[in-house]
Amino acid sequence: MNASGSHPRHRLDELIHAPVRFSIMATLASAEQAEFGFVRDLIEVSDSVLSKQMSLLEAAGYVAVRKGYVGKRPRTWLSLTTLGRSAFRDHVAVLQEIASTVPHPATEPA
Amino acid sequence: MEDGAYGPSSLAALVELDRVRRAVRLRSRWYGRFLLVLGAGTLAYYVAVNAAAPATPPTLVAVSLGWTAFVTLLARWARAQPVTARGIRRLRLRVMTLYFGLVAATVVLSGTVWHDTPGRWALGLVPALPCLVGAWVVLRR
Repeated sequence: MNASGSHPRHRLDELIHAPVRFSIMATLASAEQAEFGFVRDLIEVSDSVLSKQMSLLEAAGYVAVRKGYVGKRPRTWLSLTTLGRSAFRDHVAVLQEIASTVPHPATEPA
Repeated sequence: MEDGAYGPSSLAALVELDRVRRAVRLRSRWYGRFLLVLGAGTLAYYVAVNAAAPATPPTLVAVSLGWTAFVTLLARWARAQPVTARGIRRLRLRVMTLYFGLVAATVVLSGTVWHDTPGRWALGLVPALPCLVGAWVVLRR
């Protein structure tokens, strides 16, 4: 995951940094649990893309998947594990560190 | 990727984080509406029981069935909601513990100390209050 180096990017979690996986983690970090369809629609991906990325995050121990029913309809509930929540928090801290070094366009000399 | 290229992508990621956070928060407001309806329904139930007194068995059955249907539908609707924001679970535990405790206490009071008192419907305000406070907490987020 991390290579040695002084730039904060070396501390980014490469599994989380991919855009779709980042969006999944960000959604679940804000929620106690979210339904598969809600996450799919919010981050605008297909069922298959979400399933594939979820499998990777689940294999890493970042996400827990629970299947159940609402009435007769099958539902899949997604949530972050303690490990996933901690990894995402660390990842966002690094992103904020990197973003803080980016000069604001309004302050750029003309 | 060059080190400098991580700046814009980090900013974009933080913007995305803000977007999904806001969406989850807005979509989780269902719990505030749930509490508003539960509070109003509880008060309506106390008023109905008071209005029906002295109740005949068919009236009692009708009021009880109405209440059971109301609670069942509300619980089903809550179960069908697609997302619950962080922090709601703790709030839900507190509100529901308080709500059921106050319902039990007011039912006992209504049947003993305030038995046949005309204004005992007002006891419904007691369990409705934590629902309204909980709704306010969720909806002002």
